[in-house]
Amino acid sequence: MQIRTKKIFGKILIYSTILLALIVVLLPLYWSLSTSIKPAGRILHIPIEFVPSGFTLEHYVNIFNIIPFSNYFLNSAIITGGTLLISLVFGSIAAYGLSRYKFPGSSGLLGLIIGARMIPPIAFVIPLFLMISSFGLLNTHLGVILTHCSIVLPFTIWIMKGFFDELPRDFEEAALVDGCSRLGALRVALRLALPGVFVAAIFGFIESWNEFMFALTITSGPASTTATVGLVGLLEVPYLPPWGEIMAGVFLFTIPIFVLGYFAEKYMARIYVVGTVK
Amino acid sequence: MYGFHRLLRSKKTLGMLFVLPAVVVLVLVFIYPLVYNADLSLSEWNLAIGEEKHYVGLSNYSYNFSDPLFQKVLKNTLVFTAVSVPLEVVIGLGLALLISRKIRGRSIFLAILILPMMVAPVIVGLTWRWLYAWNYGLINPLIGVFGVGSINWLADPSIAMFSVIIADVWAMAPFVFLFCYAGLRMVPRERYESAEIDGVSSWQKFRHVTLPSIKGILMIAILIRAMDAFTKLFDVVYTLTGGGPAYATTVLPVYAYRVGLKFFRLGKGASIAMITLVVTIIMISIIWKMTKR
Repeated sequence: MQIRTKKIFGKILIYSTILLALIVVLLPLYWSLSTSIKPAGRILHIPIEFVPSGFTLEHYVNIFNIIPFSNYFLNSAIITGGTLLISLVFGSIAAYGLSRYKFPGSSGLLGLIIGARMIPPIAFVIPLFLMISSFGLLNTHLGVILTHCSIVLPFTIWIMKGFFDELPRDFEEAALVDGCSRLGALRVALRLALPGVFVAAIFGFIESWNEFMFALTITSGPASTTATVGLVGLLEVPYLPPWGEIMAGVFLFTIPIFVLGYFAEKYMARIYVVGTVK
Repeated sequence: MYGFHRLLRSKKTLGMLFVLPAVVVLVLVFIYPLVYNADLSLSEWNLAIGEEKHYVGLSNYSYNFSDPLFQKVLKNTLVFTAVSVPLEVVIGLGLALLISRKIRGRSIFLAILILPMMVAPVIVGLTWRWLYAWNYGLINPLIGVFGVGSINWLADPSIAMFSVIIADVWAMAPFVFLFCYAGLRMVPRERYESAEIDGVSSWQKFRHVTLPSIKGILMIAILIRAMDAFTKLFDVVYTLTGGGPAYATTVLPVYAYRVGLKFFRLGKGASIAMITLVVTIIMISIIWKMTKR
């Protein structure tokens, strides 16, 4: 009997601790979401309204009027797309080369790619700014894309190499025997590693879409400013930042990430943990 | 044409050919800038006053280490690392131990608990800035329920750093949690079974079975978090406090950015950035040694 009570007590303790953790995780997200749908007069209200007493979508409309948010959003999309294009094309070919061939410098290159994931961006942002500026690429999409490749390309190579390593070589060898060129074998391998390309694309998307420091350095004005930089810029509105609009922007910005995260969830442990430990 | 085909048949050249495009991009946007940064750190180049670049040896470094502001920034960075990482480890490991027990609804708990990992650091900063807002934010009224008076989270120099730490723990404890959870799942069940046959207590099981089994992966999680805390904290501070009040939350990357790209003292900024790089390289070599074993 006593053991049973102890067990039930333990179960209650476990579930309530988990519940507390869930509340701590969700409360900040709830607070931003509820702010974004509160009527303006209810946001700066004392006492605070934990449950909104009214509902409005005006902030979701306003954010596009007080700043060129649609431009910013489009800039982020173009920059993320460009970064993914370069990283996936060059990255998957390089990953295939590293997975299948040994050549002078291949192990050094591999070490460099693992190390690149850990080098802080601050260690090369100043020279990158000077270089991008001397290329005449300040305030351009391509300028930001290049800086993002410094993060996303090594990441892509690393993820893709893992997928190629797991792929049995039989298919490629069969293709070679059938008279395919080595490039034909690469095509076969790439088709088989397609899930890997998708995983690399999702994680690359998250990195580039969320990136702030490089975008802050390279961009200014509606032609190139990304959504992250644009949203942070709203803090500089005089007197009080427009919190309703900021939180509306925060949600519009984060929706694509949560959608992708939903598909990528089962790979999270593999990418972030196994990738670093292996 | 014949020569090209023979080249393609050589495995070594083919491998090099495959990595070539990526290597060209990496040299351009990563390796050359790293070398250039080292070069900049040895020179004086104030763009704001239109100065020409000239070499000054190690004087940027000696200036930094004797500069009281740099010492304050270094101390801030150390405090941030020393407080946030242990908190993240305790919370992350604790939750991983709970979640990996036989419980209902694990997959939904897991999905929610790792949610903050995906939120952009900039968004973390914006969200917490609004949570901390003096009258209108959620936190002061919330602690008021428990009878705690309102706290000036972001404007009080003695508190601001802890506000940054809380926001960062919210965002990064899930990372340690995911690491530990993955590590716990790799522990073979038989080890627990033999311990259960011996009839040991849960604490002994944790102390003698669980902990030794995940010690390696836990150490790596700690090292990665410590390295990132020391060298990568930028977005959250920039959006939450901007480094203030009175430099109370200015950490190394924020300071390097401010000196180099706000005041355009490129050489000085590069030398501060270089210090983060040296710390990173030391940490990487430790992690490298650990994973090789």
